[in-house]
Amino acid sequence: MSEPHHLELSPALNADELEEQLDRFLDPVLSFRRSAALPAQQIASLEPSKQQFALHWVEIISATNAEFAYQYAASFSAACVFFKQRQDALQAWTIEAMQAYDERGLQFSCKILQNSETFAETFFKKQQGVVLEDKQKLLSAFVCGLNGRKLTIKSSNSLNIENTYTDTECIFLPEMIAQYPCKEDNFLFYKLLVVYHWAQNWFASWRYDLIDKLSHYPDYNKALTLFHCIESIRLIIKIKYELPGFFRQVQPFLSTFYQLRDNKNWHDIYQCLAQKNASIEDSLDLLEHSYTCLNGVAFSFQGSLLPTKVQEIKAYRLQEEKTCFREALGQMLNDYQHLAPELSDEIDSRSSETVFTLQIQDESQNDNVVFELSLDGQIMTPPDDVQSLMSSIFRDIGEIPEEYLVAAGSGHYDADAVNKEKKNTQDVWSGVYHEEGAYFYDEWDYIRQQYKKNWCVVREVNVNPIYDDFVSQTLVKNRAVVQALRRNFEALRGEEKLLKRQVNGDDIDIDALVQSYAELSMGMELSEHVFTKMQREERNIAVVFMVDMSGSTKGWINQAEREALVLLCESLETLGDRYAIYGFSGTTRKRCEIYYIKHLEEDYSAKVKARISAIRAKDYTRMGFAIRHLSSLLEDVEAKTKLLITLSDGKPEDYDGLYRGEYGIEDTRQALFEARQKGIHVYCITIDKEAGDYLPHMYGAANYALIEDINSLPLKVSDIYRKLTT
Amino acid sequence: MELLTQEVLPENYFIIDEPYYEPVADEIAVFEAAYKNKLPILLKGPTGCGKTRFMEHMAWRLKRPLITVSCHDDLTASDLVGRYLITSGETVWVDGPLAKSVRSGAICYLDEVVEARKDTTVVIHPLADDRRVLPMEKRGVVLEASDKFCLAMSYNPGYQSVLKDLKQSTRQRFVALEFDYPSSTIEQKILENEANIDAELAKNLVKFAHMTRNLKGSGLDEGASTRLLVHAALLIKEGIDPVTACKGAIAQALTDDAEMLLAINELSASLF
Repeated sequence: MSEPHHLELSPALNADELEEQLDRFLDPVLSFRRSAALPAQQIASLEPSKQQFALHWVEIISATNAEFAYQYAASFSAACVFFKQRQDALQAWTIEAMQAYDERGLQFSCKILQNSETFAETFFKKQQGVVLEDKQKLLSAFVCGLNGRKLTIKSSNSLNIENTYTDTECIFLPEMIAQYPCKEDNFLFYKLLVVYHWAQNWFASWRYDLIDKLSHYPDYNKALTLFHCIESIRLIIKIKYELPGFFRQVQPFLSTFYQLRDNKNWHDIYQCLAQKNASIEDSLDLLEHSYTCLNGVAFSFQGSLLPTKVQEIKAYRLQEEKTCFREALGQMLNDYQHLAPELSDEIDSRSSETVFTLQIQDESQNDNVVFELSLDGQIMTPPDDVQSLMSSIFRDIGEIPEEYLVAAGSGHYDADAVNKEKKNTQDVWSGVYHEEGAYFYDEWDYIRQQYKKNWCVVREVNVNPIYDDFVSQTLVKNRAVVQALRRNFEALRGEEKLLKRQVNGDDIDIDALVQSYAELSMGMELSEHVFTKMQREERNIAVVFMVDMSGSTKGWINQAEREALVLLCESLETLGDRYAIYGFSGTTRKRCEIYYIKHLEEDYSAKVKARISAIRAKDYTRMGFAIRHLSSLLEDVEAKTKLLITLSDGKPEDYDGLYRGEYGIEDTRQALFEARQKGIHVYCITIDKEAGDYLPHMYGAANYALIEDINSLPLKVSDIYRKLTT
Repeated sequence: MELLTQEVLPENYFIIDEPYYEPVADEIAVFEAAYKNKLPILLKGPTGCGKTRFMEHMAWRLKRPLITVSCHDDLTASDLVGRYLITSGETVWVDGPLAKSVRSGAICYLDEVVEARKDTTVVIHPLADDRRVLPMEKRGVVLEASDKFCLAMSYNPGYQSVLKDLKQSTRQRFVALEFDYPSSTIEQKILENEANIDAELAKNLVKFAHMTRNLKGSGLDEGASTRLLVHAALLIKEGIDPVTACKGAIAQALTDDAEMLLAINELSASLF
């Protein structure tokens, strides 16, 4: 984070001096009616370090938007009151506002500037509180370990604990918990929320449609509150048996639970629910009995019951699971017939539908239900995924109905359709639907010295192959070069090497043995190095070529690039290294495009050749996103050496102008730095004669090559690759 | 000085005391039938589920010496078959473990066979079909296997790496026995027997193991194996606090990821 380095030393400025400085930054939005006098006056009343802080950030923000900077200056002194002496809070507020501007525009960022009091409040709360974002991964893993259907941890986008609920697929938790004085307790309370809502799912609180079950009570809300209370007691007792350690930890939060226990009106309810096998049915019965005489009491951690949401999700899931389950049975039947063909005739001749029979063994000691499927008296063990599917169905409806046990025949059910639909809805939830199929990458802003979040919208675009004779012509044209390259590359190919004079090995090294005996007879020590060993040197290299497809490559540069790629492919095929080729170009951060020409695992086919032939000059050279995207691809590849080689014709630049110059160079440099941290070697081959001015700064002095004569590019690229990888 | 351990030649390594083994299905009968008919055996299953213990048990049952080779990616054919060594002015042939087993009618157990280089696994092919011979190229002879010789190997199909897969030509010579973590009841019994702990503790440890196995694929590559449970049980029996024991013997063995470690520790703290 950049700090104005002269903070402590500067003397206080008066209002006039400040106004003069502010005028300089805010000029575009000042007029007769609106001057910087008032903000200047307010800031003048602050201590020198704050004044410098304000000026420093007004300058930075004005580079983005002058109006935003003006609003910042105007709200600064008010904010200082709320942030007391905390510079870190002030800085967090500034950055939050800037991020809001990047993501949602001026109006939204101004709101944050004006609401500095709320921001300060949350900021100070966060100091003692626990934020969900920080603990989401931990809590997700925790609930995943607990057992049962996979539950996702999500934010309820609210700070209110009452908005916590589960819809049987997700648990929605408050964004932050700060009600207890120390972080440990706040985190423990998060855990309690998670475990309690997990218990609702695991101990089948949602087996029945609550709206239906409670509809006959005169006051639905009263019934729901009382039910919530009774069910919570049941769940806490269940948790006590299931997770005794956790139950001990959360004692401080259970005061309501103990108060009710000692209350004689609730005595019977406790007696009934304290039994180990108390079920949802018991809770509903107790509700029936006590509706008239008791009122529900709220537990601090109970959140809300939202039966409508649960029903929606459940209805959808049940249908999906039924289809999947019957599909799975069909699969099992298939495998079975495969294993025992003599039985299959019998089954086939009887009817078109095969019905399984089910036996449920209640392994009560583990609260785990074990299912046993049988077909014609033959017991079949269902695979793990089918077991968990059955357990999920069982928890939803308390049984596995007979209609479920019919194996799906081929073509009757379209499980794919169900899954497909699901995928789409997930996209909507993850918020990418408006940028469908896009990747998001951060971009480095050197002025602010921080990343702009999800700044570039990147898509992988297909290149329409052009089937022509470009490749064969290139090969004919460069016949001599191709032959030379092939010879050079063949020499590089990994071969077995016989290592001599080894301590250990497959065979005896006679030369070494004779020599060591000679030495021995001279009174020297017998050498141990008398074996030979075969060692295979394997080239384990994955390389991605990143080809500049910007408008400036139009014409002969493009031609040379394509020829270089053809020769390179020929050479690499001899060598057997894994390689991929991608082009990149784009217009503004909203349209960053990666053109896919060849994936790492793809063969050098006619289609790839046609795609190389189809490479054309496109738009601008925004480089950061391409490096980030391709290095994240390389990161997932298992290889000893990973290389990212850029073929380029100039500096990074983009349509919006901002990317041109230092901003683009710094972003590219940062992206390359990230790539190196991922263990990827980066290299650049360029034809820009001025590359010496900026490439050493981006790639490092030894990591680029400048090719002066464009005609030698095809030959040079392969040659450089050879040198790089030996 | 009194020697605390003794040296035994591999071909004389008989297992005297019965190794504790809890059968899960009919794997003992299948192994015995295969042995009787001179068929080689492949044990498949995740790490720590009892493959090696099963081999020891079978070696004891069949009263054959057990020669175990732990395979690694530098294991060459000569490491298995044998090589010439130099002693006092002459070269001497020394049998490798495989040749030793073939000669002495031992059980040769190649542990984690996928770790070995592919060209190495090929030398076992003639032994693994009805020829039952071991060609010794360097000496120019062929070694016929004794009737009592048995070839077994293990592998963990869970790695899911193309590089760590068994070749069809190798795997199709073996009778395969599939191993998995035992059911809760059996696993609990194993813990009670191996570590001599009470039923309640064993039950909770098994429950904890299931929690970690739920995490497989969501942050963990593998859940806690039965072996790790035994380790934790032994520590607890020595008076270590259960949460600390689970942390040391199980959580730290499963992952290095700080957040996953926290989650696993939270889980164990919830149980004990």
